[in-house]
Amino acid sequence: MIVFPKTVDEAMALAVELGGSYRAGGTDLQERRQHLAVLGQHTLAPIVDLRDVPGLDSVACDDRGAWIGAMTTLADLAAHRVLRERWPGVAEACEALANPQIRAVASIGGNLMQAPRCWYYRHPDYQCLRKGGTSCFAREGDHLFHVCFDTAPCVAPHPSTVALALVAYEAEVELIQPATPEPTRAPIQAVLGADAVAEHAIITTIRLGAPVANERSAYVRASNRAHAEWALAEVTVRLVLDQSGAIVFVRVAAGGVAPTPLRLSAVEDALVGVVPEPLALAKAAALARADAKPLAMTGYKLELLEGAVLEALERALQTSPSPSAITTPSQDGA
Amino acid sequence: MQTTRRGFLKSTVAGATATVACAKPQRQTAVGTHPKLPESAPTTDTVELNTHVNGERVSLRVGADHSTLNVVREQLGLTGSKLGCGHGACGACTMQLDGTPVATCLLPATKLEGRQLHTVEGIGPRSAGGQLHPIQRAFMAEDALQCGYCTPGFIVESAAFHDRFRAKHGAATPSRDEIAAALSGHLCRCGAYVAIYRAVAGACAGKFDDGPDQGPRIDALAKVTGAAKYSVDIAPEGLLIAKVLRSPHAHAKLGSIDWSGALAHPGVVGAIELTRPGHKLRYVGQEIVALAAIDEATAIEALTKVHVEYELLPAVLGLDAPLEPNAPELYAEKKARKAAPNANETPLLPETWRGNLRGPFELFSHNRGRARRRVERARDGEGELYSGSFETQVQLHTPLEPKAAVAEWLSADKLRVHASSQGVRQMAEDIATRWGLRHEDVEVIADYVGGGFGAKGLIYIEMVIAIELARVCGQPVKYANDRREELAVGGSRPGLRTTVSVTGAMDTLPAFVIDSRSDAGVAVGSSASILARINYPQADQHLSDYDVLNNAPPSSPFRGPGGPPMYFAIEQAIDALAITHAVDPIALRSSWNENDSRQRVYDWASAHPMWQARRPARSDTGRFRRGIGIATASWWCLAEPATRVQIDASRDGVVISTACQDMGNGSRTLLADVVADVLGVDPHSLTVKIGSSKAVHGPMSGGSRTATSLGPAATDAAIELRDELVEVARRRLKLANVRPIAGGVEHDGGRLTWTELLEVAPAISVTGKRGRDQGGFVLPPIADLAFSRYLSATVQISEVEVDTRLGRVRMLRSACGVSVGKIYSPLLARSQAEGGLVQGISYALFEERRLDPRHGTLLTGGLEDYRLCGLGDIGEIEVEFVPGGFERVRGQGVGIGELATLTPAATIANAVYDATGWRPTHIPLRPDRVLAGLAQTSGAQP
Repeated sequence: MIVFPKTVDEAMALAVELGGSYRAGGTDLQERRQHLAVLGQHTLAPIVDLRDVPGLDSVACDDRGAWIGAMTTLADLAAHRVLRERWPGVAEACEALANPQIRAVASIGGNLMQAPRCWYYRHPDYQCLRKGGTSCFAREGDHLFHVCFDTAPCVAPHPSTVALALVAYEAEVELIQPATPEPTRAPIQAVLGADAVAEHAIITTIRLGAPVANERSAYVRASNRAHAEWALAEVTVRLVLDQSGAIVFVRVAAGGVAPTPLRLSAVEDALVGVVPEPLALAKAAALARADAKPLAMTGYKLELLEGAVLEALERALQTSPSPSAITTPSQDGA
Repeated sequence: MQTTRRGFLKSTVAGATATVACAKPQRQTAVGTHPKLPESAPTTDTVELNTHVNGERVSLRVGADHSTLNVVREQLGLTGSKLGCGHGACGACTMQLDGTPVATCLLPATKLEGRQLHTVEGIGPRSAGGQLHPIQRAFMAEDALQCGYCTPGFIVESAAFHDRFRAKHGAATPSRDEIAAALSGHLCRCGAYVAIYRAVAGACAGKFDDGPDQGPRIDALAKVTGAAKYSVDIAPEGLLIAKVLRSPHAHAKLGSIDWSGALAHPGVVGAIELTRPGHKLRYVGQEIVALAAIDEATAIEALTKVHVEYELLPAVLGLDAPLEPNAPELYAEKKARKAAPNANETPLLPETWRGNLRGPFELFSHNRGRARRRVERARDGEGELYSGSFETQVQLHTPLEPKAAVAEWLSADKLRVHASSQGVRQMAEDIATRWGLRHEDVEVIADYVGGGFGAKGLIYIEMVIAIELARVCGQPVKYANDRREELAVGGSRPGLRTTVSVTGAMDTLPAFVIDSRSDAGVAVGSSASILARINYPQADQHLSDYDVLNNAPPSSPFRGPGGPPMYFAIEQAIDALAITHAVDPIALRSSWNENDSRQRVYDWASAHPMWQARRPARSDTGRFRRGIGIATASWWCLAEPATRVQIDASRDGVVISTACQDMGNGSRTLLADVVADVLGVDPHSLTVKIGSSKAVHGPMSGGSRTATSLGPAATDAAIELRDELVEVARRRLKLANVRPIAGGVEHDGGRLTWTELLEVAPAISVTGKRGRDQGGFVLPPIADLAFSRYLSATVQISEVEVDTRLGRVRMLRSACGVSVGKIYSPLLARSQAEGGLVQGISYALFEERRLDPRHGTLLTGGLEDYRLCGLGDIGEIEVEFVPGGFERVRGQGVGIGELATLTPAATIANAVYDATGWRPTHIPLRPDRVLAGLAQTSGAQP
C-alpha cells in the first residue's frame, strides 16, 4: 500500500495510522524491501511517500545559518554555491559519498536515516539484532568492515558520510514527532543511534549554525578503490588559524569506525592554540585512537583512522579559507 | 569448458540435479497471458501516474515497490537498460531523469510523476534529433565495449557528462580523474575501461561530433543503442518466471519437502524438485525446489510457502578445518566422490582421497627426485633458495548478465532455449542427450551474451530449471539468477594456498618443489602447478596438487584456470631468487629459456622504456612509494579443429554463419573481418549469423580457442567463395583472364564487383574448415579440443604506488607484451587483452568472496561488498602484440583471452616488493593487509 500525503502533518498522521514507512529518495528502502520480500515478510509496511510534500527540498542560508530541507538531494547540496563557500565540509561530504546516480536522487534526510550496511543485516537469511533478532552475527562472525569503537550491541558502523560532516558542524535537526505537536530541535548525534528517533518522527530540516570566517575544511575517505566504495574510515576536519598561524578553532569528526560518528575531542584539544607543524599534527592525530575498542578483525581501522585524521588536517591546511567577512568564532562555539 | 560428455553432470550441475522431479497443479491461473502486474504483490495497491519517457507522454499503473527499471523493461518493453546488481553500484540500469543520470533499480517508479525520463533508446537514432550521440560514435570507434551489457548505462551517463562538459568548456579534453569520478557508478566486468577513457575524452574534445554510424566491432551499433537483445530480454508470449528455493545450510540432509501451499498459491503454475529428500545438501545456496509463476513477485512469495525439513550436519569451511582429525567428510562414499563437480577444464583422473583431501596429483612433475634433492641441498646452504607460502582468495565470475535461460517447448519433443552461453552448440547436444531429443529438434540461442568468463560453457542448472519447468508447465519459462545468487553459485575461481621452494641461478636451470591446496568448495580437479611446468619446462620440478573439500559452493573454470593464483606464487618466487642473486629477473628467466614465444616477450620487456628506466629498489622512503615489477606467463594454444564456417552468397548478400557465440570476445567481428579481408570488401557489408546451435559446427568460447578456430575456417570458406565467383565470371559470363582483386574480379574487359557477380550467379553455399595444424597436435583432439605444439607467452611490467599511510596500492602504469602470432581484428584483440589485464588488477587488489566462517553463507552478496575494479583503479595500460612465430598453426594466430589475465597479481606483488621491501603473500591487497605487511618491514609510516 502506498499513500502520497500533501503535508508533513498529514504524512505523520498517515504513518501513525497505517504503521507506514516514510519514503524520501527511496534508494535505501527500495533495496531493503526487496530483501524483506525474499524473507516472506509480505505484510511489508505501507509506504508513506513524501513525493508530494512541498517545501522540503530547498536550502535557505543567511549569516545566522543554513536551513536544509530534509528532502534536498545530495547532488543539489554538493553543488550549492553558498553551502560550498560557507559550510564547505558539508558540501564536500555530500559529493564524496556513493556515486553520481545515487546522489542525484538520495536525500540528505534519507542518508541520515539509512539502515546499516552490515552484510548480515542486509542478508535475507540473518535475523540480526537490528531486525528484531537476538544476536549480532557480525560480532561473532566476519566483521572486517565493522567498528573499531565497540560501544553498542550492534557492531555496524553508521553508514552516513553526511552525518559525519554534520557532527563536525554541530548541526541540529528539526523533527516532528507523534507525541509532541510542535516541531522539536535536537543535536545531530541525538538522532543517529539505533532507534534514536521516535517511531514515525519526521526530520524536516537540518540546521547549520552561523558560518565560520576563514574556515578551512577537508574530508578524507580511506577506502581501497578510488571511488564509490564504503569508507573503511572517514574524517572531516574544520579549522581556523589566527594571524600568528596557530589553530584557534578545530573540529574533527570520524565515521566508519563507530556505531555513530565520533567527535574526536582528544585530537581537537591537542590542536587548539598549536601552530600546525608536522610533528604536532602527527601527535594530535595519534590521539584519534583514544578510547578505541577494536574488534578482533578491525584493529587496522585505528591505523587508517589516525592516517585519515592526519591527512585531513594536512589537506585542510592547504585549502583556501572561507570568506573572512563572517564573525570569528571561539573554540567553545561560534 | 567441457572435455567429456560425462563432464556435464559432473562439472556444472552439482550432483543434485540428476534427480529432477516435478509436480503440476491445476492450471486455473493466467495461463497463456502476457506477464502482468502481480496480483498478489507485497503491496497490492497500484498507482496511476503520468510521465514522459523518451519524449513521449505515457500513463502507467505501477506498484508501490516497483522500480523504474522494472516498469520501463516490463511494461514499456524498453529492454536496453539492464538489471545488473540491484543496488545502484554497477550502473547498468542508468537512465536520465530530467537530464540527470540516476540508478533506476533504486528509483521507485512512483517518483516518475510529471518527470522526463530518457533511456538509452531515447539517446541517438530514436531520439528527437534522430542522430547518434557523439558518445555513441565514440564508444563504437574506440571499441569502448565488449559484451555490451553495461554499455547502455555507460552511454546514458557519459552522454550526460559530455553534454555538461561541452556546455561548460566547449570542445576540450577532460582529465582522467574527471572521467573516473563522473563514471564512478559504473562497472564493466569485461574491463573495457581503457577504451572508455579514450571514447569519453575524444567525444568531449569534439572528435566524434560526426562520423560513421559504425565502428570496428560490427555489432557495436546494437550495443550502444540498447537494441541488442540478451537472454534476460527475451519474453515470449505466456512467459512464466521461475524462482529457486536454496539451502540456507552449509551441510544438511534434506528431509521432507511440502510444496502444497506453494502450488496452491494463485499465479503458480508448476514446480520441480532439484534435490531429492534424503539426499545431502553440501553448501549454502544449493538448489532444492524451483517453481514457475506468472511473475517474479508471485514466484518469490510462493517460495516462502514451501516447507522443507533439514537434518543438520556439521559443516567445514576453508583449507584447514576440513583436514582436522574429526572433520565431517564431504564425500564419504565412493559413488558420491565420483559425482563431485569438476572445477577445472580437463577431465578428472582417479585420485587418492583421504577424508576431505584429494590428491596429490603429481603427473606433471619432472625429475621430481632431483628437484627435491636440489631444494634440500639448497636448504642446507648449497646454493640460493627461496621458499614461501602464498594464498589467493576465491574470485567470483559475476558477469553482469547472470546465468539466465528462457525455455520454450515448441512441441512435446522440440525445444528452443535462449541462454546466456559460451557454447550454444555443445549445450544443444547436451540437452538433446539429457532429454532424449533428436539433435535437430533442440536449438540453443545466444544472440548477445552479457559476459562469460568460463562458467557458462556447459549446460548449467539454471538452464535445467527453465527447461524442466517449461516442460512441466507447458508454457515458456525464464530463470535468471539475481545478483546474490549469481555471486553465491554462479561460478568461482578456487582459492589456492601454494608453498613453493625454488633454487637455481643464471644459466643453472631452477628446481621447484611446489605444493598447492585448492579451495574449490565441493568441487575437485585443481592442477594449478602444471603452470610452473609450462612456464619453465626444462626445470626439475616436484609438483603436488591437492583439493581440500569443504562446504562452499563448487568452483568452476574461470579465465585461465589455475593461472593467476599459481603465477602469483611462482613468479614472486623467481623474482625473489633474482633479487638474491642480484640479477635482472628477465635475464634470469631468459637464461633458462628455450621457447621462441617467451624469448620474444622477454626481449620486448628488456628493451621496454619502463623497464630500462626503472630506479633502484626502494628508491622512495616517504609516504608514497613507487616500484616496478614484472611477471611472465605461458599459456596453452587450444583449437577446435572440427570448426566449420559457412558462407551463403546470393544477390541478397553474403551471410556468414557458424554455431558459435559472441560474449564480447568479438567472434562476430572476427568472422566478418576475415571474410572481408579475403574478398577485399567492407566487413559491414557482410551479415554474420551466429548465436544459434543450428548452424555448422562452431567452437565453444573457452580455452582461448575462438580466434584460432574461427579464423582459418572463415578464411577457408572465403577463399572457396572467391574461387567460385571467379569461376562464375569465367564460365557463366565467359570473361577472359579473370583474376580476383579487392572487391571483385578483374578481366581483360574491365572489372566486376562481387555484388555484380552475385547478381548473375546462382546462390552459392560454401563451408570452410579449421582442420589440423601443420605437423598435427600434441594430442589428438579430446571432445573437439586439441592442444597445439606452441605456447603463447606474455610479460607484464607494472608500476604501482603504495600509500604507506592509508594502505592503498594504486596502479600507475602497466605494459603488457603478448606473443600470439597473427592478430585477426587488431582493435578488438587489444580490447580483449586490456580486459584480461583489468580483471587481473581487480583480482589482485579488490575482489574477494567472503563466507560467514561458521555458516558458509555468502556475505559478499552484492557488488558493493564484492568489489570490482572501477574506471579509477586501473592506471594507464599499454598492450603490444609482439609479432612472429606460430608458423605451423593454421592461420598463424592463437588465442589471447586468458593469457593477459595471468600475470597482474604477480606483477603487482613484485612491484610492491620493489617499492617497499614487503613481499605480499595474500591477495587481494586490502589496506589492512598492506598496513600489516609494511609494519613487518617497518615500512609503514603515518
